Amino acid sequence: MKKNLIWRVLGMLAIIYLIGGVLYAGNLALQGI
Amino acid sequence: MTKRTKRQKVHIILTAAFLIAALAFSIFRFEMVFGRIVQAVVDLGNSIAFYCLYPFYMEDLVTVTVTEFPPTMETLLPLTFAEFKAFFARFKDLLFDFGTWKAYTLMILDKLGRFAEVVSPFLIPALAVFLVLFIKYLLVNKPKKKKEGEEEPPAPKYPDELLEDSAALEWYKRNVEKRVERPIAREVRAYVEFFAAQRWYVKWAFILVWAYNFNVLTIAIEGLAWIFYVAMSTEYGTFFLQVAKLVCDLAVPFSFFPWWAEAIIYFKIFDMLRRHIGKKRLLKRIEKDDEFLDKHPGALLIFGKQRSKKTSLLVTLKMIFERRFRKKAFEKFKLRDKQFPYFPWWHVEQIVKRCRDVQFKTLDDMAIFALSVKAAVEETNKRKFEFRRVLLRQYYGFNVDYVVAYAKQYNMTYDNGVYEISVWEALERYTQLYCIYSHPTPLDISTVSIREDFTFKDHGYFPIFDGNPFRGTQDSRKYSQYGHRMKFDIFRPGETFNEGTRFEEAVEYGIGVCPEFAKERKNKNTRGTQQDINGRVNQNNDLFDLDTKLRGQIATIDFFDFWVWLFDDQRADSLNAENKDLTTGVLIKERSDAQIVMPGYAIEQLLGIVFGKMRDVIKYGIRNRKRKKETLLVHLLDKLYIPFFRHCDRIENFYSVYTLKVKTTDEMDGEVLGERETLYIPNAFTYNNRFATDSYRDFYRRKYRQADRTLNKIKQFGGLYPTGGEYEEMQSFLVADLNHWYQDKKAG
Repeated sequence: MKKNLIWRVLGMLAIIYLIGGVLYAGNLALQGI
Repeated sequence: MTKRTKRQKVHIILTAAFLIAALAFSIFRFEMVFGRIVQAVVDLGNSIAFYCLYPFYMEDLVTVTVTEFPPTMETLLPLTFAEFKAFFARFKDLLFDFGTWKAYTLMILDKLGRFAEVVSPFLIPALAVFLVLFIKYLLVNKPKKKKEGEEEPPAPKYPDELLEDSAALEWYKRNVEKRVERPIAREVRAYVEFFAAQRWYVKWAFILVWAYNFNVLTIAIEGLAWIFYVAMSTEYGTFFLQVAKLVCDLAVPFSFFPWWAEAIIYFKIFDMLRRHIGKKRLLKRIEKDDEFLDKHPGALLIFGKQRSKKTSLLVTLKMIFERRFRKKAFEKFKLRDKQFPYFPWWHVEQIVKRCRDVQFKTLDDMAIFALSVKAAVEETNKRKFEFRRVLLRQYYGFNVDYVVAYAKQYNMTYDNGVYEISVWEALERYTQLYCIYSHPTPLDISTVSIREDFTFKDHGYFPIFDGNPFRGTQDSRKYSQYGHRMKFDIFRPGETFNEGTRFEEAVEYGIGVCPEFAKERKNKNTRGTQQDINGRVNQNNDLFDLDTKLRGQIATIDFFDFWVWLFDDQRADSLNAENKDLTTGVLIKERSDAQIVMPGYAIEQLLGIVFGKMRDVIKYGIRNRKRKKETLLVHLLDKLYIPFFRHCDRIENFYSVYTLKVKTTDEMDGEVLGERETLYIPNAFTYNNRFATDSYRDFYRRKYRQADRTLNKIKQFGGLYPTGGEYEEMQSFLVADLNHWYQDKKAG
């Protein structure tokens, strides 16, 4: 169960990273860069 | 008017001060909101005028301002569809460009670096403090050695006499908790209670002022203005402009809150979403259990090893059946209502409620009722009709005039495309089905007590059944009811324990639940040596098995069988073939650990485990070595950790589901119906104080009350090799046999 938990935590961090990246790209697009 | 206490006066002054502060914010901090709200009201006025004039082709008389971007605001967002397309093209290119992701990752690393810079001046001293505490508490603190000639202190009479709290904790409790923490908590709670008890206009004053401050009023008015405009002009392209204005308006409240308050708000929104998804998943799992019951109608025999959740599954299925039967009854009488829509069904429902258990004891009584109404309505002789009408009114409370009026205007039969249904048949069935639907107590009769917490939303008209499986703790206690107690004599056409029972008590529909069923009925081998209980009745002559076969027929109402038996035991073969053949066997092959179905919980779970371990090591390490009641470090640690623990524990308990893999067989011919089907037991549904696994404990406790010694006092072995005497005391068959074969012939 512990191994499963570590994978789920890494998965959540990856999702947070990707969402942050999408917002960052959106922000750059809005600024017309 | 009652005299106000000093505290109440303080509270009133405080409330007035908060209101003045809020207004001060409106004037000095949120002064830009005034301009926006004036604009919004002007926009709304113009839009409403446009809405009223557009059907008469007079819309040119008014200038619509909601489609204009205010000159005082600036934004980078796209304002038209063309601009949006350009933005989206740029966004797509940037998203799939490696340079963007590289810059993004470098930005994150840079932020982490700056965070580390801020934290590290505190980190080294914190590590030093931690090491000192570690050495002090865990390595150095050993029990004092007894000095020469020193006497032992006298043994205390009670175990807690020589212990005190540590000095630091005593200081903390006296000076901080008593003088600071508790008074503040008390005052805050008192003020919150005071505010909650205020009248509506006080609360609404605050809501309105802060809605104004946070631009919420502006957004609402602008939204209405746009709706009025777009309803007539259908220019949906102006949507982008509205989104841009919304984002600019929302910047006002977001610039007010500090970053940590925003983080809490975002987390709360995220928490609401994930709890919503979690609840949906729990309901979906119960639906899947329901589908399993659809696939396997008839009696169910659940078997499996000990501790494989047989009784939990039994209770879960029983609760699902409770809701199924009522839902099925509701669907069926709704159909009758559609067949004869203008019939006074509302009056029939009132009569069922009034006559339940008195005039309407059995299904037959309801059939007689329908026939009486039929006889009255079809009666041609005026005097006889009056007699029947008075009889119906006095005996049932039923006013037959409604049906007479119905018979004059509407159809008395209905052709459903296959055969013709008469209204009297519909009346009989409707009464019976409504009786089941609105049954006030649980529908089960069982040997184990199962707690239900359904309720009816009944305002005096049509009651809506509310079988919400995840009621909160307080509501669940409010609506608690237990199932009916089993009396097997009801199901015995043959010999009985008590002759009167099966004539006085009738069960025509419902759910029969019997765990450990094979111990009740036994099988051919174990029945053979059965002593007659009560001198007369035993499993062979009570004809229970005959009743099990026929019961489905008497419980069939409107072509649906409203009776089901639910059994469980450890071995299917322990049960007599006559009973077993009628059931669908459900063998529990696998039982999973509790799985949490709420998404997005992994990080908190990991933190809960890590912090929990740290806290346990520190707390029990200290308790092991320090002869004090409690210490300050542990006390403060718990103040921080326990609220987090409560949050995690409640989520884990509510959103846990046990998954069972079962193999279903048709016990009649052994055909395997499903090799590995899945069943779910939601923790919040089944382990909500529903049943007691140890409900037979009273019998054992009666036996053990006379015991002198329990496990701790029973003699232990002296060494690895038991002596002859130790063997003798085991009272074992093997030892007796060995003694017999190897006895000393000379001594014999």
